[in-house]
Amino acid sequence: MISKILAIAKQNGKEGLYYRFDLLLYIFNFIVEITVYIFIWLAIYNNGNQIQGMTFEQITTYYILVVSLSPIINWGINEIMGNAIREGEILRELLNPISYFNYYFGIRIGELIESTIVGVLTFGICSILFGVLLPNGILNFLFFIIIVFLAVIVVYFFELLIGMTAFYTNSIWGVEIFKRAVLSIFSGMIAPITLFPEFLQKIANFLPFKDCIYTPINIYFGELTNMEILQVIMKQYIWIVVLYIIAKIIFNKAIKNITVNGG
Amino acid sequence: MIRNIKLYFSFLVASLKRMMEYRVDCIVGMVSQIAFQIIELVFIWIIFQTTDNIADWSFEHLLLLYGVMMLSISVTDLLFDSTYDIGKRLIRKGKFDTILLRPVHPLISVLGESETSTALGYMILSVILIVSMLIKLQVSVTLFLILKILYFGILGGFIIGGIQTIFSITGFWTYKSNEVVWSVFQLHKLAEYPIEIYNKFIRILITIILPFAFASYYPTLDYLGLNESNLIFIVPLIVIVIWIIAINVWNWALKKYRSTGS
Amino acid sequence: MAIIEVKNLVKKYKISEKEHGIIGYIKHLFHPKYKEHIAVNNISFSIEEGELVGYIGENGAGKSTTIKMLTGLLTPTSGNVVVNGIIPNEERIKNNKQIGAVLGQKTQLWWDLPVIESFELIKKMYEIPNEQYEKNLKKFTEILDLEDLLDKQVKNLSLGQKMRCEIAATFLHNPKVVYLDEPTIGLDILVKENIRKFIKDINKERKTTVILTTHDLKDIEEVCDRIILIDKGTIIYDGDKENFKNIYGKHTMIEFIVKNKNVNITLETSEEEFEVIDESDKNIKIKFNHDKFTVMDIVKLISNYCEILDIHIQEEGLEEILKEIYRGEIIDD
Repeated sequence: MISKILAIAKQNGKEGLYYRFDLLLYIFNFIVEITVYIFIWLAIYNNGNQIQGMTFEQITTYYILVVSLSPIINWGINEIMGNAIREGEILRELLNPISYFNYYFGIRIGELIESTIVGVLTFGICSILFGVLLPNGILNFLFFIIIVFLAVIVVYFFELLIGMTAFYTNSIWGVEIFKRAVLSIFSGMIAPITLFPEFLQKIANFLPFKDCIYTPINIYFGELTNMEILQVIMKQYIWIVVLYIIAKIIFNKAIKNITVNGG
Repeated sequence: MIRNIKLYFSFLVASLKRMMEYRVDCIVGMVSQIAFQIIELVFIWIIFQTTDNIADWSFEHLLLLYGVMMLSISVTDLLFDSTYDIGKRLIRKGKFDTILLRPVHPLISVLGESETSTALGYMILSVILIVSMLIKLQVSVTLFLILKILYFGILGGFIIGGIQTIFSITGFWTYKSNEVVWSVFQLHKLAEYPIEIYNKFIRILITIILPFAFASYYPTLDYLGLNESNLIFIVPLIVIVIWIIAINVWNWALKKYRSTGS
Repeated sequence: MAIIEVKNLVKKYKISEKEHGIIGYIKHLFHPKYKEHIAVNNISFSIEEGELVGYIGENGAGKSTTIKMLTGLLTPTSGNVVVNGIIPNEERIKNNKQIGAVLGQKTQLWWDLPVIESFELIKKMYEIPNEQYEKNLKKFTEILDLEDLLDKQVKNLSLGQKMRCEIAATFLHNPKVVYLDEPTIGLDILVKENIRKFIKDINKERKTTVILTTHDLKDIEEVCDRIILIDKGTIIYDGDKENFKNIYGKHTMIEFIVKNKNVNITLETSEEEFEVIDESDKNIKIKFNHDKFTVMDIVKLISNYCEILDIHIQEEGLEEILKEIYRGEIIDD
């Protein structure tokens, strides 16, 4: 089964390479985004403010990591799936000799290679432009990578769940917005979660998305003990299992509906 | 010229009618645009949890600036939204040939196809932001100020639309949705914040090379009565220059396109 | 003076030769290689006002390239095109006002709008006077049977309905010259006939010059007086339709209804330029070269073997002739 997933992944990575030009533009867009953030924070630091014990170098690195991670974490299977459901494509996809979840996971892995290139390039260019802090030790960096990979899986299942709303609503876009809003606020993409007001922090702690961006970056800085890191990994595993089960149940139910009612 | 402008509006009305056909998509587009902007506003709100000003701009000032930019963007979106995907929508499918056969400059036809549901979202948000912030900042809202805001909103829309149009010619060769235009458009984000915070390079970029700052920053200074440099008065001039460049660049691209065919 | 004058028209394309893969892509970036392709090779012709010309040729023969140059969509590599005194490529917009064009399936109508609103926009674009617009609209509606279509959105029309509207849109501004590129592709016979009749009527009434390219040679047989045949970028025939048949159509088909046939004629005869296409007990179909045989020769021959009840003689159609030309069976001399 793994080999099948990898075969699909390979195929997809290849296709993706033909969009190199766009790739540079994506990176350009990320740089624009980060430029705004960094200069705003610079202005704040220039006022002589101390922000929650973070230095300016740290906050710069934080945002560089955010924009570098966001193409890796985000994918958009929900949109692909939404369109497939809306246009009836999904029935054909069910005929694949591989389960739907695995099929798209294969595509996701292939795409991951490309988005990792984007991420690494963005990181490289931004660190030249703005300067960046290196990870606090090799072990922390390894944990950082592991947690990011687990985050990819968490977000994959979250996006699948979001995508399945297309079985019940036509508004693929509305749902996409909802996803982005939740992800960008509660993962800490827009700002480090410690800067949030109390009640937002509480919500963020309850959801799995904090561990997709905010936590790995803190591990990168060496702010978490090994024990805490293991707890995070456990938490991610639990979330993956929970999200998988929910997604599977809903998917099977919806598919039954389709095959019984003929869509 | 007059005839072209008249035709442009006839085309635009046709596009808007077409848009009404897809009312649901429209509302979704509108709502999602507002939602996107609100994420950004949440960011501004969060940073003001840690400070009370950015380069001497208060939270209210910043939101006003943001709203002014939104107004310009909404005008761009309403009037000139159709250039970013000419490669995919028109050139690749050969539909552009039918446009070339019309007795009108193709740019008029293409711009006239603008149909955007997001414009309304931007507009609603910008009106809310501008009005509430002006009141909060105790600026007296006179009829003159309202007219001025509208005037510079429209000109700002023309600035951004002109910049987009210049870069849209890449679609003649890429045959796809044009990420170049999108990337250039994204630079407007820089001008959503006061230019004091940037270094020299970015200031030059958004005031001289791609003058987005004239669609937001300078008008806002004026509304706040902080307009010391009087730079605001060159806005109409900027619009004219940008559009002269845009039209010439387009004519050049058309010539190239017609010598290679598709 | 001719309304369309084409002199020594040439169009060359540069085709980039890309190797596959990323390495090839990068190579191409620094060291682009091009191959030259001559799509139209030095053609000349002139068309008088009011002519109905069929412009034919195989796919890739240079038809569309020529039409694109005539309409001003494409700049010629060399040579001249003058349409009613205007060089289309230089005064495009002025030229556009006096021409009309249907480009295959590419619609000039607004997809999501009712047909009538597209017409109104066209009226504004071409500055058609009210009176003329009303008159044309009424007339076209009648001939093309558009009454029920005008209020429908274009996207909801069938292919045939769409093309009828398309044709009407093309003629609304009384163009001097109309280019019709594959106007009947994919349409059913009734619609095709309707459109052919329309073109002929308008041509007769207004002396509109029409240039028609099509794969359906029935269009040409029924509409056109003149044929220009292009092959591999050069014109190989330009002239009268009937004359074309006389020159190239060397074969005649003859069909006999017979009785009391007791031999297999296919086996009995072994003449050159004489071919039994179909044979049964009651029916014989023969194709022969009418330079070598007369109909009487064939009748005599067949009457040796059986009793003839009826005879149908059929001249070779354009389609068969063209097939033979394309196959290289007819060598140009």
